[in-house]
Amino acid sequence: MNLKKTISLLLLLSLFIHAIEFKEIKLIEALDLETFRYGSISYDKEKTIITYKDGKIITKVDNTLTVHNQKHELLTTIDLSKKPKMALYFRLTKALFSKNFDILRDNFEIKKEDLKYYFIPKGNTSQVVKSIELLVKLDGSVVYFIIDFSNKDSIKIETL
Amino acid sequence: MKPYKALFVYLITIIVTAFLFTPSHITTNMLSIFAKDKNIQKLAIVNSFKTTTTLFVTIKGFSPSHLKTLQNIEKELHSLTYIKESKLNLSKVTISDYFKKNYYLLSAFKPLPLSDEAVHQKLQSLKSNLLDSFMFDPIDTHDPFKLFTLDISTDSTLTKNNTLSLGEYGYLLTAQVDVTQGDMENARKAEKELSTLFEKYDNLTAFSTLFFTAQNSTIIQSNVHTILYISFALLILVFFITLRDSLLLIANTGTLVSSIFVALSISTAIFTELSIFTLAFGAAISSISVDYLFHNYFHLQYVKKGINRTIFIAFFTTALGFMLLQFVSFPLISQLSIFALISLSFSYFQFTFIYPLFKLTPKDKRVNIGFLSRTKPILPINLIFVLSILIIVYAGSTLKFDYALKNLDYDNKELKVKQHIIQDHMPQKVTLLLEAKSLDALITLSHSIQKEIPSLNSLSKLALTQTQFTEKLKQIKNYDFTKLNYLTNSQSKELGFKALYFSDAYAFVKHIPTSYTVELETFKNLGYEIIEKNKKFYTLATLNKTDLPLLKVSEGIHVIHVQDLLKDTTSKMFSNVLLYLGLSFMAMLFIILYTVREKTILALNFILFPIAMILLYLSFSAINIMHLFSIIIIIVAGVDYGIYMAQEDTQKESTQTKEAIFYSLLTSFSGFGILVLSSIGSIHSIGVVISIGIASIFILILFLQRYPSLKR
Repeated sequence: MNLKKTISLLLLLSLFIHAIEFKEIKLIEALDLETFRYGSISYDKEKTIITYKDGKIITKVDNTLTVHNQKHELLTTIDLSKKPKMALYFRLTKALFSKNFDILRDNFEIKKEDLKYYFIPKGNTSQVVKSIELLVKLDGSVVYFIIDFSNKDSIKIETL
Repeated sequence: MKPYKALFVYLITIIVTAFLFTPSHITTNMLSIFAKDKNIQKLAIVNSFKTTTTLFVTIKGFSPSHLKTLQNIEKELHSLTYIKESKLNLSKVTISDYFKKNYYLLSAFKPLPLSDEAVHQKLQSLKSNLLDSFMFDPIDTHDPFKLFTLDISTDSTLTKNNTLSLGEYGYLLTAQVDVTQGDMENARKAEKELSTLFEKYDNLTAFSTLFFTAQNSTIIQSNVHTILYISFALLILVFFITLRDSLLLIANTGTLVSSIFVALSISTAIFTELSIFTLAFGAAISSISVDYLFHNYFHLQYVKKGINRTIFIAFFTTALGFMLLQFVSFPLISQLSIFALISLSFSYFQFTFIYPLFKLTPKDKRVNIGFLSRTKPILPINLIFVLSILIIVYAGSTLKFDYALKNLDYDNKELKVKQHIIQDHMPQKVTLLLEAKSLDALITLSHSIQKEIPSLNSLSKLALTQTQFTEKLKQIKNYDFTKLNYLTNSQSKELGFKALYFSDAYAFVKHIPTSYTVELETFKNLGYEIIEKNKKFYTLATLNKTDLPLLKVSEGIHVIHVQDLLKDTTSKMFSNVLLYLGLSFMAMLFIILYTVREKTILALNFILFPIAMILLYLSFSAINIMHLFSIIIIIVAGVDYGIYMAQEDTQKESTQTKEAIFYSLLTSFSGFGILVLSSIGSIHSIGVVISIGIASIFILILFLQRYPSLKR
């Protein structure tokens, strides 16, 4: 096996190592309904991939979101620059999973109490997000986070 | 005239002209040197837009640490007063009040059929999207059916990870630097502060055209200083060491300064816009008058009675040439002619009528330059004449004109590299000047171009014409939003939506403004300045260079390509310049013919040979505006020397004349030839032409044969 192949295999492996299993609980205010589903998220510098157990694979590269089904057929492509709220949600999820809070500091004030973090939105962000709560384990890994949106919707992500 | 009377006239002149002096009329505006034709008027309008300069900061590669660095720099930049609005993180878009107020008017309106079926279908799809959505994709309760859409997204080639990027090069931070073009002092201050700020970071590319202004002016200034020191040292060498006559230096300096002052004062009184170039070249031409002094001096005129006829002829010939040149439609040449005419006349007056007061004579202890007369005259007069004409015809026909004004500036290689990094990764833009009789017509014009070329960046992106506004308002008002709300509320209940969830939908329709005005100040703040001049409205627009072929240039649309416009104007002015140059030359030729008769060819050689040599040199490169004016300086000197040389009847007189010309040349070289050492385009150009001219005249002095009638 040559060096190139070894490196690409290692890179591929590292991608799977990063995959985090989660349960997504969504409160939909408009329908007064709670839904949940299971999935896993993996990310690197360039790419974020979310795989839902019910079959959809969402890949984000730069500002483009692609949705594939289990057969890897392309279902839809979304330009995130035209969907700012969706883009914000994606940035939030990635930042919270990776605990890379630096990119959130422009939009949020961050408070920490023991193992809990609270994110209070600043400026225009408060028109979309009301508050965020994040709980981590002692080793720093995520237990759950809850994003309360200004339209009264709420999404809770629990790691499994 | 008695010297004391002349001194009185001198003082009166200085006092009177001091009152005429209007320094505010001196301008550095490059456009002031050109005839005010359509092209120049267009450029003048473009210049009157208050455009801020963009600062670009980038680091190669898309690593998060680079982004972090740029974020830090952005924060630091905000502490500087002259930095206006920066751009890096594109998710942080601030929406102006204008947008908030006119959002629904500016949006495209797509009405939904008012039927149960249509509304049901829309609500059903909203519901499935909510249930099926893998992401957060909420319903906009104000406009749930997305009837109003407005696309304000930025160019996708310049974004990466929601951040501004320089194509595939790296993240890009831009900021607007609010320093007026030409405000040298603030430009330098800003450049210095920004450079210190950027110093801390490695591998950073920071560029703004402002840096050119600031750095180049500093470099030019220090370069000019160095040259001035060398020049001054050389002049001291000439007067103190070789001539050993300090009074001569002091008196000459006084004459030069007062002549330039008188010429400048009168010129500023005549012209409302006197180019700084007129001052520079005018001063240069004035200094050529030193040959009147040296001719008087070496011919011991200041201890004799009367005035020197030869000097008078030389002066009169030059003055006549300038008198004709002032009718040229090229403002710089006409201004220069008047300036030179006044300055040369006043110098001549002083050298002729006041200087006898000092009784100046060459010192015996001066350096012996007898070698001037000991050289063997090997160059036949007629041959040089024919050869010069042939060279002028040949070089003149191959000559290329260099219209690029930037070539006259300092060649700042380091900054140019940075400029290339930015430019190569950005789409090339072309500027358009749009012109219309009314504001509404201007917006209509902009919309008509936008229709053909969607990528156009102009006020049509934000502004509506009155017709568009009334139509949009009518369309919205004609739609039955009450019925839509009724249908929505009843259908949503059926589909399981929360009661009253859509109660606020389309309430904003009641608040849509019923009038619309384009306020100039608002648009200026949004980056689309509109100016009103002579009952016409103007704005600037930019489009991608690749889209230029799609542009249909019609009335009111002007493509601003500075170089082409200047080239067009200059080439139009050229025929006029040539006509008057020809007339001047004929007039001078007539006087030379009349005064030196059979020695005309000898005298003409002193004009033609230097021009031939200069043109020959320039035919290998290109001739620019600075070269052209320096050639005029050499012609002025050449006319004088030619007349002096042709007027000599004895060997003694010839030696005195040669000595006078030698020192004149030396003085001119110390003053202007030395500029050849400069690394700045414009200054070097002057130096090159003057040096070649001086060297050519010197060759003639040493080696040109005389007519056999010369008495021993």
